[in-house]
Amino acid sequence: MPDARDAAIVGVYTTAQTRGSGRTGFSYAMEALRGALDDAGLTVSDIEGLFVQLDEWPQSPSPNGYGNKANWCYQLGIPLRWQTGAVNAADTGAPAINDAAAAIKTGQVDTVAIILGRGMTQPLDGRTAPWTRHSHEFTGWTGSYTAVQFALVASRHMALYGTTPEQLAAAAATVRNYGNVNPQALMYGRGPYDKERVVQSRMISSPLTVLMCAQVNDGGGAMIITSLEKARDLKKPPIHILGGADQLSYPAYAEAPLLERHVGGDFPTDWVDKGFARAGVTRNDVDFVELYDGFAIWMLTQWEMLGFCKVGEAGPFVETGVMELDGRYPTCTDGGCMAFSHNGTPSLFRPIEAARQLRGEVMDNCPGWEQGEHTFEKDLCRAVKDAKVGMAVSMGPPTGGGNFVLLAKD
Amino acid sequence: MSGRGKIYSFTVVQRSADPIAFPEPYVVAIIKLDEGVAMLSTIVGTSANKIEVDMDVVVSFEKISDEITLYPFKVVA
Repeated sequence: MPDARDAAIVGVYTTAQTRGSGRTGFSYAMEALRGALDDAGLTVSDIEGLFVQLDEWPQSPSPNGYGNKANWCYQLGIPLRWQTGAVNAADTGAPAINDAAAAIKTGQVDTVAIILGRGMTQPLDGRTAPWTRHSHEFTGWTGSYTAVQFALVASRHMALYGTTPEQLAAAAATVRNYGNVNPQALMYGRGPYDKERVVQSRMISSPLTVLMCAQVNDGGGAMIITSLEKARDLKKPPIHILGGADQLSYPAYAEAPLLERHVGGDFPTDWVDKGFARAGVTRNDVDFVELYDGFAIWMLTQWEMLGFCKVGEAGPFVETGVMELDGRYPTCTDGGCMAFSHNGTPSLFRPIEAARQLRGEVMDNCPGWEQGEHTFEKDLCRAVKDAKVGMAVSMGPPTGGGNFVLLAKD
Repeated sequence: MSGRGKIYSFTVVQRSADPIAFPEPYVVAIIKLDEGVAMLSTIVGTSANKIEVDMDVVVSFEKISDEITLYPFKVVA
């Protein structure tokens, strides 16, 4: 039975996901915060804890770029009683939600806001996203950047397990087709996609084509989490945070991305089962999954990492249509990082979409979507039928890490 | 260290983040050295469409300046 101190998502908001607006990440984050508070029926003074990820802070840039927390107290005009910081882009999603739930459960705070925003993301030279140009002593000299690292994982997966470019493309096409019918997605109306179109698109770093890679765009999002006790008095039914887990086991980008440091090796994988056990649900209870789809190969390795299929079998697994709207686990139902948004810090968008699916608030091309009426036809619809439990992943290194949070309808 | 190993995985990069420093196409590879260590490097001297996973490779040193020497690998014939 849920406890009064269990945590629930009570407000979510995403700004326009766009390119070239000239707005700052701060501007997006503040809009998102106001939107999420309004969605919950709360005000700024209700916030006690804040988890924030920005690419800049207008008054006082900090060395890690995410802003000095004292500035936020000043900006919002409230004291903050619990604050933790994003160390990398993954932290703003599932890990922040799991942390917030723990802080609420232990009575440190009642209400937490998680906000993120990033603007002016377009690279001046038009080559690749600014956050993908990592420079590390032992990898930078080779011409490696993020897409290259994922391509190296894909190459190994193909050599070991016979995974094909068409299987990678099938996963990417499925996700992009959700974005095609999501009016809030950056790539709305740009489909439909099939695996041939994805395979034949421009090569970035073999075997990854441009349609197997995420977007580069501006945008923000926010989420409000509070205790179940307080959630009962708010505007909308609470979305229960059942629990989750994370594990980090390898320094992404600074070292060669070894597949066996991720799946199929001797690294412990019990963290996933422990997370499910704490949440009190099984993979059979999960109705849909919001994977972190930065690159097509990462979706395949996530299915293996999370134990939804055996190691090495993700290629055939995704090719069966498991990720489609009428498949067993509709996946990245807003279009994901590939078609909804990748603003450099998109981790929170995955659980936001999970919450919207569980609320039945899914904007798509169905004539009755505003009343929650959906056709469940793939060329119009992206709403998961009878969604009760959703899983969201918020992490994107090529190998050596993962996280998730499990959410449920009231 | 013998400087010898096998190609663990590789990619042909068609979209360079910096086409002046790294003209397209170029090959980035993970090399598993015979001693068990894995490292990131490049493959030079073989056209990209002839490269395969598990090929035997050997290090070749490339002096850039008095301070810097790089360590690309070559396929062993």
